[in-house]
Amino acid sequence: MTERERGMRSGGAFQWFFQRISGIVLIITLLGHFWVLHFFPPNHGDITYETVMLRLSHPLWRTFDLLFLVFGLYHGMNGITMLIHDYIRGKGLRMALVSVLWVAVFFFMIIGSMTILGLTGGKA
Amino acid sequence: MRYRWKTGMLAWVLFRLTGLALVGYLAMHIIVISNLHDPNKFNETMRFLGSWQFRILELGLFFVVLYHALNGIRVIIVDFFNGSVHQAKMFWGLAVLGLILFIAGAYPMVSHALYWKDVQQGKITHDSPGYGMQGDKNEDATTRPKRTVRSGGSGRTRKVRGTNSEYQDNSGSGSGGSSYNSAPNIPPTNAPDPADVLKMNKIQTPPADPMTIQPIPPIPDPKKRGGK
Repeated sequence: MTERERGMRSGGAFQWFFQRISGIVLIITLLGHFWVLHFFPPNHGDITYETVMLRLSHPLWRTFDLLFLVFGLYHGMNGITMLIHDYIRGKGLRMALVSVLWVAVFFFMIIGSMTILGLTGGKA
Repeated sequence: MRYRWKTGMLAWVLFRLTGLALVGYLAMHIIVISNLHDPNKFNETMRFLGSWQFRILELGLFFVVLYHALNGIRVIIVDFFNGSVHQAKMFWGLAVLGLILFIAGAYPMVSHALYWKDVQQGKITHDSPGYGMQGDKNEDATTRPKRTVRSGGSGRTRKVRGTNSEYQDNSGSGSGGSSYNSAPNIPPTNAPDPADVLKMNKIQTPPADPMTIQPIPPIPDPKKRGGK
């Protein structure tokens, strides 16, 4: 990469920083997610449509799950990007894989958001 | 060039492997949970995923998540709090903490899994004292919340608006949700046996006597409209 090319890039400082921040957020949301699914009375690990809808009918839990989805997808995408840049040497292949990754992340973001936001409580 | 296998190298390699595994798991999880658009399909999927093979995989997932999270904490301490001098000590310290947390989390998971398996196999029903995890003796048909899938939106929002009294009142009782492993929680009623009802109403099917030839009802002619 020439000096000029290097100068035009941003250096990835935001990604480095935000990977750590999203990691911390994920630890907190994951603890909450795990606890409410497996230990929260009265269900104690009984995951059925009814118990999940009961929890998700409250906007707080919906927001919580949406945050979990967004931060999780960001953290995972950043990690895979790091792996691609570390192990794939060819420029064309790298660009192709990063594009595929972007499309995949969009796909999962749409499916996940539709699930969380689009629940109609059985009227579907 | 080859690196020596030291603590930090092992931690980093496992960090990458667990991260990759978790991304694969996340993709699968999002697709599986998107089954929530259909109640029956969701319950069926959860029943399938509740078998003991998947429970073991779930424990493995718990271990992978715990490893990645604790090593991530170690990375954050090294990056932001000048911890690189202590990184090996931190690894082993967090390993011990991770073992404790794993046992603390795995024990309830396993005991709940065994409990719901017993419910599925009928060894624990809503009559037996073990039901509800705490043998709630005050539980009867009146306190157990009614639960139908078809009542859909109106039933749900009525329950959770305001205080989540269900969570406070029936704390610990497993009757809150119908177990995905068993029939729905139908409270015992005083309805008579259906066979007695039939006898009372004198609706009886004639015994199949091979000596009598029952007439075959006429098949309606499709060409004639509305009656014979």
